[in-house]
Amino acid sequence: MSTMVDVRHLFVRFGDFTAVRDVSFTVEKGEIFGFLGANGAGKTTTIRVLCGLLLASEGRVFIDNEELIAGHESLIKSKVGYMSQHFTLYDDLSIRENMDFAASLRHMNHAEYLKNRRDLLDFIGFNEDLTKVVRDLPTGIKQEIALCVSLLHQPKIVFLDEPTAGVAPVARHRFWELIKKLVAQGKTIFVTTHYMDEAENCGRIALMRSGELIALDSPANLKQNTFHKQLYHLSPITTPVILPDRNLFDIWEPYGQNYHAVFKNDTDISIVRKHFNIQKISPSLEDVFIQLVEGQTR
Amino acid sequence: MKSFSYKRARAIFLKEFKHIFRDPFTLMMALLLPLAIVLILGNSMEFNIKSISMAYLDHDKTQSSRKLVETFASSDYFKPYTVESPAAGEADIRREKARMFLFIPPDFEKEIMAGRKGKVQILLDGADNSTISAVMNYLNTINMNAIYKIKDIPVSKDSLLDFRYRYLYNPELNSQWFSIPGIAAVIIALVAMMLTTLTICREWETGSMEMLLSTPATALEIMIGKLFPYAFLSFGGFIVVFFCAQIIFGVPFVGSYFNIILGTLLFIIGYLATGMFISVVSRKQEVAVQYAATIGLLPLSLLSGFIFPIEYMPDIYQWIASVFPARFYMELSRDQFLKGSSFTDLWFLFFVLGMQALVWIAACVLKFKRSIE
Repeated sequence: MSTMVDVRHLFVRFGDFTAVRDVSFTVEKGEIFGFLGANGAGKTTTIRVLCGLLLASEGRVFIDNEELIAGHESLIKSKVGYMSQHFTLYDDLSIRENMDFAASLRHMNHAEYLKNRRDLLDFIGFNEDLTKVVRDLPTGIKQEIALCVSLLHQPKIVFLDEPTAGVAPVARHRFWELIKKLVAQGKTIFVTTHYMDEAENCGRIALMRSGELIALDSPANLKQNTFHKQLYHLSPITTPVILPDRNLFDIWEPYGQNYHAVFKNDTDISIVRKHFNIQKISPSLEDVFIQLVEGQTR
Repeated sequence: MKSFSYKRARAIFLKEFKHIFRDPFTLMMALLLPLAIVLILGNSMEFNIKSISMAYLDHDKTQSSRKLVETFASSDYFKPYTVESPAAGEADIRREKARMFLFIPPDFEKEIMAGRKGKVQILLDGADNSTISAVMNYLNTINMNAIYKIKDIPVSKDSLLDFRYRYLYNPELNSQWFSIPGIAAVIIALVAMMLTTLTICREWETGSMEMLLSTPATALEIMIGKLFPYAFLSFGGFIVVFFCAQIIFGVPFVGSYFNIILGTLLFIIGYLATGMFISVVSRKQEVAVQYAATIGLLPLSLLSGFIFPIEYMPDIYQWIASVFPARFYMELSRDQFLKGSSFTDLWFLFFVLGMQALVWIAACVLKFKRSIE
């Protein structure tokens, strides 16, 4: 695989505040690259730099071997597709008007545009009337059409900033099926999400915290490397819940009404068993996220 | 539950104060806006309008006629200068070089000495109702002072000079003829500014601006693309106001369609760009509306010449008024409705309106570029 995104020692500063600090990573062609972190971790800022929306304060960025240079962002913009966190489509325009507008902004040849539009709508299985006003569409369909809009000019890489926020679970699942189909067609996907089940679909995941990259690996390796000891699921059996001595644990995290914990010594399990049902579990990506991104900031 | 709890009301009271003191705009509105209005009104509502430019032609050339002109000059109210012919005096009024023209006929002194009332003709700019009532008051005082100077006798009603007035461009001094073109300018400016005040903010708030910026579209393309649809819309508004003025209020239009259309388009673009600048700076719709109301309405109503004549205000207010296109368009609109000056007479107004539009657009583009960087 060759490299699609190459970020080297990226810094982004806003006055005295450093939003992104010395971040370096690469994304390979045809990869689904997950970019995770708590709110304000610097994910969106990094994506904005990679899409040419924001200038880096320091560092170098290459997209498809082309360096992103201030004043020459348009070269990069032709190679990337972007679906933003908040906005999908203009609500008061029809589907066709939204797509026409996006194509015009990119100076697309009309015949090429019509062909791409047809292919993309077939790709998402949309056969309805294109004169429908967007506000009348279900959120899931809106997201899928917004994905088509970001793909109209056939970018090599698509940046999806929380593309499924506020979307129902079935529609989210469908959306991710589309992402996988895109990758199968050779596209590179760079995605941020707060849904850990979605992040499991990524080939590799970068974890950001306070503007710094704190981990970068496959989901499986992240789980393995974060939890060296057995993780347990603890369900309280008494009401009110009698919490055990926290000194017994290396990790103790609330998980709904239950707890996920790593014992300092497995011999202490018998002490806790009086008040909890205890089960061995494999760590999920959510456990990793809580441990690495949130646990250490507490 | 008690119908009124002092504790709850106090908690809300304290919370509201915290909001106010943490919001600089509200503080500014509450404290600085009254100050600004008092300063502007205090200086602009100067009823003692002074140094009114007055052209005169003395065909009598006698001691009496000289004393009459002297009376005008020695008051602080008028600044007389002589012209070659009545036509030149009238032309100066049309060009707004003079607000009035005094014509002293050849037999002026003879008439007075014969015990009759000395007749003089006074042409006044009827297109400028804002100064005319003050001028009329001054003329009564001048009349009394002049006859005292000329005849050195106690002034009585019978001894006064016979000032024959003629109001150019608005013979019946119809106040609507004066106010409607001014109102038209204010309405067009307000609508234009409000239309674009929200446009950029809305794109930021919905997040669509990011989508736009992720494409190769440049700041200039975004600004121009956003501005011109509203220019057409505002121009439609102007056409409505223009026909209302003529059909409903009977205001005559004696100017050239080319002049009024060109001037209006430049004016509209200037105000659309002003609104867009507010939108770029504020980024939030509710803040933008507050800015527009304060920054836009204040100069529009007080510093445009709509209510108070600009030329008699202190220099500082004249400079502030010159930043906004309303001052110049107000002049152009009133001129084209009532006087009908030619393009060459008005070239400076077109030039200023054009430059203002360009400067506001450039400011929008630069500020927008900086804000996205």
